[in-house]
Amino acid sequence: MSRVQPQILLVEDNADNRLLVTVLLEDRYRVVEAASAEEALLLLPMLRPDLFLIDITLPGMDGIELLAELRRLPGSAEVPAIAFTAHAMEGDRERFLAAGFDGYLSKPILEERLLHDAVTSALRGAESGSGAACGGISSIQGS
Amino acid sequence: MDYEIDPGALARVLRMGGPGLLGRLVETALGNLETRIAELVAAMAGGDAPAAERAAHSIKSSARNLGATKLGELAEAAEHLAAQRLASWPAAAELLLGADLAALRLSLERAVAAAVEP
Repeated sequence: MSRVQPQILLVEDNADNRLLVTVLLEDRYRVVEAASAEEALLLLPMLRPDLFLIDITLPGMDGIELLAELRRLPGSAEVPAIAFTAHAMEGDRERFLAAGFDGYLSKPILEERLLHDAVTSALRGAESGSGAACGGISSIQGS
Repeated sequence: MDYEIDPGALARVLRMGGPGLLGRLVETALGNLETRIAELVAAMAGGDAPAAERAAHSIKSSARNLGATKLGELAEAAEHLAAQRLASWPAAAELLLGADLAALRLSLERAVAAAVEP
């Protein structure tokens, strides 16, 4: 069975953020939701995600630990990942990118365009094989 | 008790998804706030700063989605104090426990009505 829409695995424990992201993306992407890192890892064998959109502050394993685990797993090591976070501490953005995320999207979502740009950019970077999944991906932060 | 709601936050959601999305967001966020405040109560009872940090972080996020600016600021302060494991985090968390969700709902209903039919 062919997949028409790219698949996004959204890992976010906050229900209202899951709702917003899913509603804003569902016209163009198939969004699969997980409320924790552990749930995401359980779902993963049943999916073929094209992109991970990962909250940083999660119960149990956090978003950075989850990304490290995903990078060890065959099939998900090369999948681009965007950090989706309400962290606003100085240096956080650099910390997330250094941890291996390919982009950065801050909460709350201020414009639908920012979300779409981040997703499109990450997927395009992965398609072009721009190394490390994405040397070419710019981090995107709402202002 | 009235909560000041940032009309810009509601207008933002309206632009992105119309009244339908705004209504769903309000209900979902209020439900999340109720859950997280209960988690904060448990964290305080157990002296569990990491759990308090996570609960406050989620309260901050939902409050910002709703435009409940002051509640978001209180939550952010509690989150940072708990993250740094400072002795004052329970006092900051205590302020969050004073959140009156019924009053917040009423304030939101008024603000949403004004946003949808200005």
